[in-house]
Amino acid sequence: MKRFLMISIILMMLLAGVTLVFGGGAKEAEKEAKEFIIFHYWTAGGEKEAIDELFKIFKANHPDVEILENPVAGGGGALMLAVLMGNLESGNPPDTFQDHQGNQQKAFIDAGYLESVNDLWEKTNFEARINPVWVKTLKFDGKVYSVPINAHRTNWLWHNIEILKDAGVRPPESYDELLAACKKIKAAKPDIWPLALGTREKVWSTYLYDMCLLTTGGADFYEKANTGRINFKTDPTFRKAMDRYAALIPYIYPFHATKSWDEAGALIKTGEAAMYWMGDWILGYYLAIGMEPEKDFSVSAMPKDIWMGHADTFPLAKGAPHPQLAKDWLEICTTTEGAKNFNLKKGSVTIINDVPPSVYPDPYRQRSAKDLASLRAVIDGYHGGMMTPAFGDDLMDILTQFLTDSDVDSAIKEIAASAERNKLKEACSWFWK
Amino acid sequence: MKDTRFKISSIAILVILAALWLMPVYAMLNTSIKTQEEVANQEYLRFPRKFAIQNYLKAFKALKTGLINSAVITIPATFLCVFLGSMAGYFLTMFEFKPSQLIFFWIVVASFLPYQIVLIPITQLISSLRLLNTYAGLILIYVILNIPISTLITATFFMKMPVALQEAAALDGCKPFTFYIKILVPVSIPGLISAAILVFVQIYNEFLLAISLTRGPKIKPVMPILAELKGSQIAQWNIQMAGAVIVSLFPLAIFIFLSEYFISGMMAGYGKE
Amino acid sequence: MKYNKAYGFIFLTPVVLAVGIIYMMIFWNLVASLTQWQGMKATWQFAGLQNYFDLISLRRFWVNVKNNFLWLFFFIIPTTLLGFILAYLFTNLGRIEKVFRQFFLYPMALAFIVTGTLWSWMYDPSSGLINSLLRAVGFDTTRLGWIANPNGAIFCMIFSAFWQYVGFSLVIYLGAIRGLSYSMIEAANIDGAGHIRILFQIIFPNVGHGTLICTTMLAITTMKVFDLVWIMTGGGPGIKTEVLPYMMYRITYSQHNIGMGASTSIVILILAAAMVIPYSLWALKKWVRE
Repeated sequence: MKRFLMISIILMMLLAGVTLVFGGGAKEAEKEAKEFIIFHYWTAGGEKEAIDELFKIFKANHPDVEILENPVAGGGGALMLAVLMGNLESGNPPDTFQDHQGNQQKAFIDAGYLESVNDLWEKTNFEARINPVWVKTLKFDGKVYSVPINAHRTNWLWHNIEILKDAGVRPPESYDELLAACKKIKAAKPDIWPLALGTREKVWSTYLYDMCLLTTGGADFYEKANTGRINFKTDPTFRKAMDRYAALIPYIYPFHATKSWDEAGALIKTGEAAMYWMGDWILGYYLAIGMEPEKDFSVSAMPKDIWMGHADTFPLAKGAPHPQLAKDWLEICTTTEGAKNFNLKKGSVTIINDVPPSVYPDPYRQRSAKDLASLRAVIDGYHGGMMTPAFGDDLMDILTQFLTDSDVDSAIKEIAASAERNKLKEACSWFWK
Repeated sequence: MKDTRFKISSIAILVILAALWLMPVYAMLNTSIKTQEEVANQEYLRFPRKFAIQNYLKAFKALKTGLINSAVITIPATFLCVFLGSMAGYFLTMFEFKPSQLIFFWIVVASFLPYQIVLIPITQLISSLRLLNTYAGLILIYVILNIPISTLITATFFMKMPVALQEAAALDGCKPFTFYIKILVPVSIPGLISAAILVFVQIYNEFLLAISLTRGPKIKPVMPILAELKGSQIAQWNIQMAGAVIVSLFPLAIFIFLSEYFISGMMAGYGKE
Repeated sequence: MKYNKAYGFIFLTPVVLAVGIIYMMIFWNLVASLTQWQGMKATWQFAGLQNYFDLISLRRFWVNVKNNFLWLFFFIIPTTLLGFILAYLFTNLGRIEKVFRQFFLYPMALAFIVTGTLWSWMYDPSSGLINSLLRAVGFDTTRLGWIANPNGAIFCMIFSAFWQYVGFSLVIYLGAIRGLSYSMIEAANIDGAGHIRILFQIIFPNVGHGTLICTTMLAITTMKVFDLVWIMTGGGPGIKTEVLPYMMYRITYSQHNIGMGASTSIVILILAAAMVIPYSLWALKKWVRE
């Protein structure tokens, strides 16, 4: 017994020694090989296939380069921020990483972590090929730092066709129609919840907030409110928007705290809920769980004359270990081929307008692409980076509390306090320049 | 008579508790063999209509290298932690050294540090040692962060050791290191194993550092890969749960392996007394 | 007689080095907490104790402190107690013990990122396991919201941590109880003492070191609890289930306010040091006696 113990101790010490020696050596060997380092959080199913499409093109151009992807799953990118901050601040930037736009990107720019890619935009005539909203939220003091790859529309209201038909409700296209629909569904089918929601990740509470702002005050008001250009305490439109949010709460699935975004979305499938306010990535999920478009579910845009959503972007990191490769990667993202192949798999639409809407197999993305090219577009409050991340983070707390007590006064008070504490107006002034 | 009744009732209690304890595991196993379509129905209790064993194949394919990496990182790191920590615990409890208590106090306080906050200096440290994306880097940082815990546990177990044990050994001319290896370690196996289990679990389950200090799949341990299996904008709970079953088999095997020592260690302890 | 050899320091060196590095990081942290570091780039601009004043003026901070103390109380005591009782039952069981022990150890083997999800499924009021089972035996579950109930959420979360860590206290107590001599327990048995008396009057006083490790380790876990909160509720609804380490993480990485995040972690360490003092006093007494 004792001998066995001794032997295993010696073996383990050897193992530890060997790994220390070889582990240290491996780094040196890797230095010589050509590599391309990218952080992202698309790790499974269609999203992974999508980024693999880009890797395929990249590999065809650079057969000798090894791609070091560092997928950081968890928290819809919240975890990746921490990982990035650790690596950037300690001087170990990747070549590029997945980011959004607006204030989400500005945080990196202010810290001096990004390099401008104006030349690439000029070379590919990028600005002329995209909706002005992207230029507005990606250009800071005349400089751009990234290339957007896809656009996810988020002002979609998904619904269960059968339930709406049974209740005699038309798919809502405005807030008033939505509230009327909720009332009608609740009256016709008391055991079905009109609106699904999942707040196990708190961020989804802000999506309904965006919707109320947008449908109450229109696009201009929405942009002003999310950048802190209104007086939250006294603005009557803002109060009205919050009142409207509160009016929806009795119709929202009450156990939202236990559901993740996908589990809440599946309530449309099981028939426990009738409608769901969610971005178009849920389409990929619905297809994966065997729901048929236009038979089991459909969608309406709300409001129908505005496109709201956000983009995923790839910025160029300052001090990137392989800047030329990173630029080549960004250039692939600007090409029609790269963008198309990526978005077909991803479930989103391309940023660039030169991909015809007809390439998408489903009617929803065709419409999203068409609307993005022609309508007024605004970006999401939190994920789009309309508001600052710090204010958005507070807002989630306030709204998830609001969802349990429907107390408009205290919610408004807290939102105003948070906007002041986080200097929302000053921080977002770049948007109005 | 009284004892049989006690035995039966305690078995009954244990069975009920064990059933309760296994309920989440049931949810995990059940979900892991469902299709994504069926998972979406969220009937956690209901048995799957058709088995989707391919979930396990998919998960295993993705986790394979991660499992090996985790073994290569976790086993030596745990061993070093317990070995070095118990040596310090031995010194602190059994040597005549006045500041022992003070050192001990500071070691315990250090173990309370939530390491997420020092992610930036940790990354700085590892990259300045040129150990980014190496096994050695991860092992080093895990040992540093977990050594206080193992010192704490082993030292507290050593406090129970009778002083006479060491006195007798010293009279026989036994050197401290020999005493530690030949006498102290064998009699305090349960304490060492308790420390090993905890440290192992901490290291194996960690994933913030595991992502921050690696680049790509070559070195990356299994836990971040498990998180990836679900996807960000696609929800493959079934594959993640299949992965979770696979990933948990390794620590479970370690627990069972250590349990053997646990029991034999106790026998050794009684032999000495 | 104790050893007193200079080369004994070799035993201590690796730990002193490691702990030294940890304290260097804590010092980094302390310095960061005294700066107005906001945003991603380090700005080492001295701000005095401003971050600490800002912190204690937040209502959120005090809610978090309260939640942390709820955790300390409702997590540590039940986990320690059940582990202790189970260990005693196991010592009387003989061979079956080996099988049963795995059932309670298994949760420790599960990834933290998974257990949070599993417990969300357990607590789901409409289709979760608990309510489904209760409904199957005829209970009315319409009012049992579990984690969806704002006031009960934190206790539900604590219970899932309890589930995961009982295995740990069980192992500790098994080790501690086996270290006792059987003759002591047998003597009590012959005296006709009941099991409860043996348990609490004879065994418990003699496994003080086990209790000490257990409570300390669980306190460390509590003061660092992060994954469960993150995955089960994100601290919600509102901040009802948020705890200090999670707030620290969000302030630092989601709100990019590193100065304030660092000061939160210093507060955690100060609270920890306060908890450790009784522990080291006990250890001191013990050492002096020997």
